[in-house]
Amino acid sequence: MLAASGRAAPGHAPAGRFLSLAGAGFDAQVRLGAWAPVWVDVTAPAGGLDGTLRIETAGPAGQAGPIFAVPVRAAPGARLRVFVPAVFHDARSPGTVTLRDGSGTVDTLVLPRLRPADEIVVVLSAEPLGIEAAAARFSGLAVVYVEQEALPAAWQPYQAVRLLVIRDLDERRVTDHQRRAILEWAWSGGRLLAMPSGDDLRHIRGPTLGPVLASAAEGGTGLGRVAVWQHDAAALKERGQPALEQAWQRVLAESTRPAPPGLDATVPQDRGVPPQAHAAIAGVILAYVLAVRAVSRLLAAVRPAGVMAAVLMVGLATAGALRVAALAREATAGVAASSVVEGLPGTSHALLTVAARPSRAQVQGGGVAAEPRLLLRPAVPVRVQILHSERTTVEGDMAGVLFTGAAIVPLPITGTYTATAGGAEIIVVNRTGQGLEPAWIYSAGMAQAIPRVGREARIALDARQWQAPARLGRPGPNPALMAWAFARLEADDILRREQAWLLGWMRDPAFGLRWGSRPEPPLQLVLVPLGAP
Amino acid sequence: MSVINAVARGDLRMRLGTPRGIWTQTVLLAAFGALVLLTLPAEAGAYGLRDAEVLSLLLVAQMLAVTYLASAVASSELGMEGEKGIADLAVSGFSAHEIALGKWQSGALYALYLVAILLPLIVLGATVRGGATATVALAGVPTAALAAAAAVWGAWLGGRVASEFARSAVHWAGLGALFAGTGALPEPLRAASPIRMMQGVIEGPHPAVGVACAVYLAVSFLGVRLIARQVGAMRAQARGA
Repeated sequence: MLAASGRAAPGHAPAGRFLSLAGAGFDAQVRLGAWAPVWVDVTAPAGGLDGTLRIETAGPAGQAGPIFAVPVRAAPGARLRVFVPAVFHDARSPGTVTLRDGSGTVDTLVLPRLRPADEIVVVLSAEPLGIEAAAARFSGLAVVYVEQEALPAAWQPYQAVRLLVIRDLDERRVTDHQRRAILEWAWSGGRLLAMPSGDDLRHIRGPTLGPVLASAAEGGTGLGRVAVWQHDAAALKERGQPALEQAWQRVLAESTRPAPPGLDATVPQDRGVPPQAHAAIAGVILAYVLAVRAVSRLLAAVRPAGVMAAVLMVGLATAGALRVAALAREATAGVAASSVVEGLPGTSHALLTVAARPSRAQVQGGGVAAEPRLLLRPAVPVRVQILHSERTTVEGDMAGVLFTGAAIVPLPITGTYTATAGGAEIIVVNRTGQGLEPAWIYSAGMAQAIPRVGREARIALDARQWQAPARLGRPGPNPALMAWAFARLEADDILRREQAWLLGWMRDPAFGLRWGSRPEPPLQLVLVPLGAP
Repeated sequence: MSVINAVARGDLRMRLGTPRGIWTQTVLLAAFGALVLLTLPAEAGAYGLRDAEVLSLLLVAQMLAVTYLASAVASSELGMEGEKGIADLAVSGFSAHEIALGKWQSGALYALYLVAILLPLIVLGATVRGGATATVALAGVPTAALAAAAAVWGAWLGGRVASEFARSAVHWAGLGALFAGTGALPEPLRAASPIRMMQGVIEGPHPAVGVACAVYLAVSFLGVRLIARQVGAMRAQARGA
């Protein structure tokens, strides 16, 4: 379960017998099609509760959209605040919240109208900070003042947030999940601004912002940017400081960060037939060719027995071909996916991004599962259920539908890059237990292939071996994904600052989805920043 | 087997029973086996072919291969040891009609045989991609009709042109005209294009495919008449000499 807390809930409308909505979006402000936080207060019935809380969303044209669900367990009469990340497509009638247990639907409430915006500035402040005038200069940018309870318990629902401004923060009312979400969002590219509240600096040094600012001080905020104002914007506004609006404009302009290109175009068309199935099919074909050679001699007599033998052989072979094809289809059933584990500079973590499309050749009993941190969603609003529990599972007719997801995960590979007279030397420590192969080093727009990277590797790079990425041979199992990775390293301002990157393919089931017991995709692309020793 | 006349029986015996005939089938099947393996989606999706493209590729390749082999064997471009050409049969005791009908039968049955032995491989390659078995089976009809017509005209060409080089040149030009030239014809004549016929089969039952098959059947009977006339002319020439 993503997050549930037993604290007392404000319980504002709309409310049912067992459900009341604590908040959807950031004070009802959402970006349609992006992750948004939803907080629901659940009161367990007299018999206790062991069920699921489901947000049944509506598509943009009123059709049924995805269902986002989390499990809920509570003792009789207990009251929980449950967090459910969801993606809305219709602001006017976003959907319904349903509480279900083994006996059926316990309670339902209709979600109120939401306010759509392209981007949101989320402000935690008891006083107005004078940001509105500056924000009005940016198209589609909404400013929302929220209480800390409204902050998401996972980083992905910050997707629509351009800037999080923290001036007032009561640490007693913030959960560890919310703290972790802020830190991970900053690592993944979030923009955060902290400032004192009058002369009160406790929240800046507190357990929420402390780790983020400490990380920033060491240059370790991954793709994010964290800033601290020494002055209180509320006080400046009070004094009518004319420079305040310019300061806000500057911060808002700096906070734009172009979204990285999606992995959609890199997802292979099919999951593909495994090498063992290729070998089995080759064997069947060879046996058939030999059988035809034998029967051809019989048939040459142009006698009924020969013709019967030929007809029988072709009939049996066709039936066999259908069976082999069915087995091969079963082997290809699953998920065609691209998975990238991108080391976040200055942190010991990585951004895991997955794009996956369950194949059309699905077999009965299959299903997509992922680790719980990976929030999955369909790229188009279709009726599937995504349950975020001990692991994320997707149910429903998902054949051919593209799913995307992201998570922050620990990066088990580290390395250093040292320029030498004849080229460079890299040292890599790989704790995945899996080798990286094939692998490359990328630096300043050029790349060169390196041997397999095992548990520890010390590799000398020859200055004459650098090539343009497009000219590298043997690009691994997914050339489109490799091209995506090189383009990303070249285009992103923050990633480009790194001295060098290690790119390699690894087979680690922790960094992908699972189809039944099978990891998908079988190989993942890992990008590791190589800093100075 | 009395429905198959002696000329056709003799041809089929050589095409199916001689080492060269058996190797011809082996090479054909091995080539298609390799094609099927190459079109299987690799685990990391290295091949970008779509399902419909794979089905088209396999069926058009089948049509090309069967038509080529049926006509090349009949015209003696791909000679089978012991198989009698029109010129050899003209000095035999068979009537001109028996010879012409025999050549048509051997061409049609050989084409049907090749389509039949390719069936399991194409079914395998197509159904892995979700293709319908019925479409693969139905595609055998225009393939056999086209190959039978090409075989009759190949047999006629074998009797008409003595020079092996000239015969091969005319044979390849004819195949080029059949597969590429018909595609350049104006509508509705373009329906005779083998590629178009195969598209029609893949997209669903299309009356134009049936019409085109009937046209190729008529063309093969025209070839039968020409062979009979050719045999008659050879015999008249022999008598005159």
